[in-house]
Amino acid sequence: MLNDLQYWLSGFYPYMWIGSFAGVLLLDAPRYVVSKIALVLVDVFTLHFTKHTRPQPYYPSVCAVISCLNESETIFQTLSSIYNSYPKLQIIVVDDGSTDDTYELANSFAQVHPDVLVIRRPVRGGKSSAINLALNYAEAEVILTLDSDSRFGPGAIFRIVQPLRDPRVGAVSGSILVENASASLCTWFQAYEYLNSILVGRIFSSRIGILSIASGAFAAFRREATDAGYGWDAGPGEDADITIRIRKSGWKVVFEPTAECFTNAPTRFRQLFKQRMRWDRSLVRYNIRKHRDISHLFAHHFRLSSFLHWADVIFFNVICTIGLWAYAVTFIVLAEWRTLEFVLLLVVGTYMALGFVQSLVIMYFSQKISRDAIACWVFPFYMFYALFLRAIRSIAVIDELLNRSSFKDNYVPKYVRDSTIHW
Amino acid sequence: MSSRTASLVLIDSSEIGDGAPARALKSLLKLARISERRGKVADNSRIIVRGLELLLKQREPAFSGFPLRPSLRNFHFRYPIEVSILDKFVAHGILAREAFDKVLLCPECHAVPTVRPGCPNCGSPSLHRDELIHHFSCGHVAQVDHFMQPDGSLRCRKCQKTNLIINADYDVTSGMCRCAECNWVGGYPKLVGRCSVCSLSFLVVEAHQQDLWEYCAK
Repeated sequence: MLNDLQYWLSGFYPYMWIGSFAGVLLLDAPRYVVSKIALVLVDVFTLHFTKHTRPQPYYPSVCAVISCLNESETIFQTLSSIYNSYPKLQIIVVDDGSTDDTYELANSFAQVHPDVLVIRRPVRGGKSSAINLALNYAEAEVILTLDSDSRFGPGAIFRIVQPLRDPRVGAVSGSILVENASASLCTWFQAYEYLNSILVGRIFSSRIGILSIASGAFAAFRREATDAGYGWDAGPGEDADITIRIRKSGWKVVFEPTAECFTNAPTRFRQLFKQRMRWDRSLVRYNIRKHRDISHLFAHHFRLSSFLHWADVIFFNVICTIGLWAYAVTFIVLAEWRTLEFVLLLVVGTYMALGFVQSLVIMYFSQKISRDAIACWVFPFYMFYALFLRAIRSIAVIDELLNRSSFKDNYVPKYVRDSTIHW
Repeated sequence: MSSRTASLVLIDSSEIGDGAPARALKSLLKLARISERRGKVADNSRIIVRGLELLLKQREPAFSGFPLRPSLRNFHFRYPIEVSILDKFVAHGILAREAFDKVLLCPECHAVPTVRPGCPNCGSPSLHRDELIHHFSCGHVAQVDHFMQPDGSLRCRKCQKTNLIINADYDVTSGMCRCAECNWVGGYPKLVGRCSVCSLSFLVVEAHQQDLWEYCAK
């Protein structure tokens, strides 16, 4: 067996080596693994060699905006969980055309809890305009957007507003984790994915200053920053849009790993497909179309960090994702069938090893290792899930480039999406 | 001396006419106690009730007999005789007390308030509901005044689009209630009471609740 392997390896030409491992060694590993290892090393170094002073707690007034549509099962629980969880908290619930008793439940809560406002819209107008409606009544320095089906970690609101102490910060992204990780294989993969790409990925982006997304499920925005652009634009992907707009007006966007929000991830691959199609279309909609001016080197609002974010998205999420299929086809056509299985095994093995390293990095940044370790055990198979996500992304990107399908998404009601500017 | 004679003496009109109803009431109560002690309540109650009726007739010419109900005087609910005394007759089994009504009164002076929907903060009745424009194309939502131009047309400050047309470009949704006096904002006005006597403004949920009883002859 070993002799066979040695014989096989000796018959390899260097170009075959490069051809087989270019994807993993030149692109995926540096971008997603080496970067994170460097991050850990820098962290360990700064932890040991610099003196940390605990800053004074910062308590700005906060207005939590919850836009909900048919959320009668969770709204009362969400309101109870965040009420009184922060000293200066106003809560505004916008019932965006629910047909169940969401409004009645929220209103019954507001009757006995001061500082809770409930606004009803008889006709659905979309999440962005629901938040904009709430902005008319928000009297706080910080706007917090929440999903009504999420659960929040202890002190999450206090923690998410702490980075706003820095007057240059305009938006803070909270850490989104999967609540129902054990529900199905699909949610298990997502739990690992969220830890990998949201927790560690955003710590990395935030640290090097290129973070450009604050998930709408749990994000804090400085009122001054949102008001300058008159609030949210119509979605889908309105959270990515507002964050890029805030960046364009000169603010910083940071990530706060200790502010945790637990969300229910789709339990079936079919639902996941729909969700990711929506998310990935936004890549094209905002980075290639609406906000492509962040790549204009001579624009007055040009920022190197925004440009790096844009280049990262365009190269790794658009070009590499679609390029992967061309690469795979070339690989299969050119490779010798006799050796294909060996090469594939080596590639899979490499990805598994990289997955193991990534799991270690997750453990380093995890807020609760006992909880996150369970999710990390899926790492040997994660590459197959990642391949599935890349397939979705490829379809979404091509579909959006050709059809502008995000403007046909029922996430925004028809009368609104027909009127919005089709970027 | 039998109780019957005593009652006849006690309800003598001259004594009531003297302007001493308190004394007359005391005597009636004394009689009630004696009757109770001798186990003759049933025998004498008719006479005592008759005495009460005469006394009440003297004080309240409009009194037409039992049941005795509270009436509104100077915005307070009053009985012609002190409730404590009436309750003593109830205790002796001469009168019966039944629930008649329950009323909400001023928490301070227990006078009858007037009630209106108003601002829970300052009690002002001048509340109006905000009207907000939702501009579809850019998602901007603000009060109508924010869009209104001096010539009466509508212009969106976010995307600078002018001459907006209703239902094609925007719709109007109602927002929250706003108080013109103190700028309070909330979902609904609350019922606010204002005392007719001391002019105190208070939320109806904080009003003093008083049971009203009617007293009947047994």
